[in-house]
Amino acid sequence: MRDTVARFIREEYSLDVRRELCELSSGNSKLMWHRYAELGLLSLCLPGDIGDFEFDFTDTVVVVEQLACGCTIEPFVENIVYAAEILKRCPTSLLRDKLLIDMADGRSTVAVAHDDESERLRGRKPVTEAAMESSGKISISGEKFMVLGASSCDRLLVTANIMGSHETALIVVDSSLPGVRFNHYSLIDDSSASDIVFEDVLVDGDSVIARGEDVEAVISTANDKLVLARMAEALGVMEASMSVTSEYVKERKQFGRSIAEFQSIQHALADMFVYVQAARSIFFHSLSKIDCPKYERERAVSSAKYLICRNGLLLTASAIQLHGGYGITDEYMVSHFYKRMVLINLLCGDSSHHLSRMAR
Amino acid sequence: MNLHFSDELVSFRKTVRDYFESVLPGDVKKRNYYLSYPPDDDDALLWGRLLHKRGWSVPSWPVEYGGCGWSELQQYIFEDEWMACGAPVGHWAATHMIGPVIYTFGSDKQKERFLPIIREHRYTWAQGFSEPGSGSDLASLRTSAVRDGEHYLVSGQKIWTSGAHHSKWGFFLVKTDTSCKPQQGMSLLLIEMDSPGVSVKPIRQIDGRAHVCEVFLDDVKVPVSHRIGEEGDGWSFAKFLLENERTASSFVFWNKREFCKLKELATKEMIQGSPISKNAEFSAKISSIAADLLALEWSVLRVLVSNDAQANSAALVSSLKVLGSQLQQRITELQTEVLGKKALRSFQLDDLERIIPPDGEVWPDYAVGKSTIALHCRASTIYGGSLQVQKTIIAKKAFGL
Repeated sequence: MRDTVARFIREEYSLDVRRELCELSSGNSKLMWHRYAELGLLSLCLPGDIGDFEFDFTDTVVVVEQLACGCTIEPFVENIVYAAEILKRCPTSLLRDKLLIDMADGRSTVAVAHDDESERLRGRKPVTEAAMESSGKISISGEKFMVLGASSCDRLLVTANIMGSHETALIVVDSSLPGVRFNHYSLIDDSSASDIVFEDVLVDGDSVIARGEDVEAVISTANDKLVLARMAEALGVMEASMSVTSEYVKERKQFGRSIAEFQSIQHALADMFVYVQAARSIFFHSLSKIDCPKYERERAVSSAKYLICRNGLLLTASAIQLHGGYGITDEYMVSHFYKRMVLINLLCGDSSHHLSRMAR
Repeated sequence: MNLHFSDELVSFRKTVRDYFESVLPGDVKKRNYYLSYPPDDDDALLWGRLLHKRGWSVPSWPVEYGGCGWSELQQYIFEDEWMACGAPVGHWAATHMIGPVIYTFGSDKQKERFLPIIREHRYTWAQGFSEPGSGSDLASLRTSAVRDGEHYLVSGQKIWTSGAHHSKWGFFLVKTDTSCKPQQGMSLLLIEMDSPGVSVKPIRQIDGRAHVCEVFLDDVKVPVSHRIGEEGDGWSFAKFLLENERTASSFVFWNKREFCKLKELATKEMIQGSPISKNAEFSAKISSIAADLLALEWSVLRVLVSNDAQANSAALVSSLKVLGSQLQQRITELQTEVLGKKALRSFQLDDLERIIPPDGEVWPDYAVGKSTIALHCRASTIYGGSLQVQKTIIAKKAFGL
């Protein structure tokens, strides 16, 4: 699959294509989604109890890394990692099974509307509540902030407190239901996110695909897998940045020679090499701990998040620097790689959050 | 060695501050709070005109050309208060670059024609130096100016020309003689930007704005009377111009202002229920920047008041740029880190009325523009002589390497 994706990026996802996709869809492009389905990438979401074959999480992250080399804007991680990892761990049901099959075919896209525990909110804390109505339906009210992948999804996976209890419910909500209000906006890297308000949204009882303590555990595992997937993205971004920079400095001539001949440039490239090797190594370590008990898993994931983000920012910033004025323009990949890295750094908890998780 | 500002300087500071606070329009201040850098061109001109009213539009110029005759320290205080009051950054291309070249090397006619325009901030000027093939190696530039009677025919391409799409005039470094050493074959020409043959293309950048441009020159007819000095003087004028603003490239006052914003953000944003300013990790990062900012400020002061050995001064000036540009990046990066995820939202800054978010509690207005500035600051270690070039200058001048 690695080679399939690498070829897809090389042949079908140039910077020009990416620019067109951004202009046409303002983030969350579905235009390429059918290609993802055709290439079989979406079937990574299928658990063993549905498909013939259960892919390993390792397979998924390989694909994520290769997609990131093209700085793709489609919500692959949001769907095939975050939403899928949650759904995989929910008990089988008609709704849950059909949703996963539709995701694998590319017919449905899902955004996870959960509250980020590491989010720093000044004023009110977002709360979403689900109440059982006398009709047997569930009424959902509340709000979610900065949900990635929501601007073109047809379903939402919403976590809500069950009224009158301390339990959490995981509910599948159709984006087009009355009472679901979106405020979509762009992010700095041409992707998009949405604030969502739920106003007495009515869903059937069987839309609740999980409830109780299990939900906490499912979300916690999925969150850590999401972080690892973001780290795989970071690795792709780092490798690709280093590669295009190495090409650029060999081509660019000033003072009568290729700037790659200057020692300061060579050392900067060497630094990039060291950053990415260290990042990849800690990534493997955290991958090895992904199925461990929560405490051990969290420490491993947080170490990786911290180090990879730090190294990734240093590397992509250096890549811009080595491109000179051209590094600041939209016409070269490096500025897009840097912005993706900034995004990855601030999503899923920043360095401060992960450093304290490591120290617990 | 006197390490304190005199009473006269303290009272001068108050005079300046009082004037600024009384004239800065509220909407300009607000727009500039979000945009920060580069400022809106019209706002920058408006502010320049307000300064001109008070006779302060070109205080560092010789008195005979409209300067104020201030000391270096008065100049320093003036710029410090300018940034602190929230006014837009000045249009240096005119007042600090081409202006001094014209009053030092221009003919009387040129001084008469152009100096009042610059003093009065009537419009902006474009600096046409860099080319696609000539960035750090400016001497290799190729835009040619061929003499044809009383005109030059200028052809070539300039790049990274800030604000060229708004400018009325530009000052261009061109090749008038290709038979000699590059540095001896250049001239400085003033070109009207709406001359036939001039076309400007804004370049979309990392921060979503398109402030720098490519300027294409296609057989543009430029009168010989628009040449400053003689043919072949161009390189020395460029050096004069680039070396003239010794401390400006430190962006010290801008850094101070952004640092104040950073501290403000840190009191407003929360982490686990307490203000971020109380969080050990963030507080340490902020203190570290505070120390570096003090070092930068005092470095600037030392350059201004001391008569240090000439050999070191070019190295000192370069070190100001090295420190200052990296501080620009650290401060604006930390601003986005304090905001956390909120910094990831991109706001369209060209229509400020529309972007003020509706939900102040979740989307405070101070979140607007922060990531834009931080992204723009990736350029601060590149323009005006990249980090690598500055370090080479220091190695040569401070160590004789």
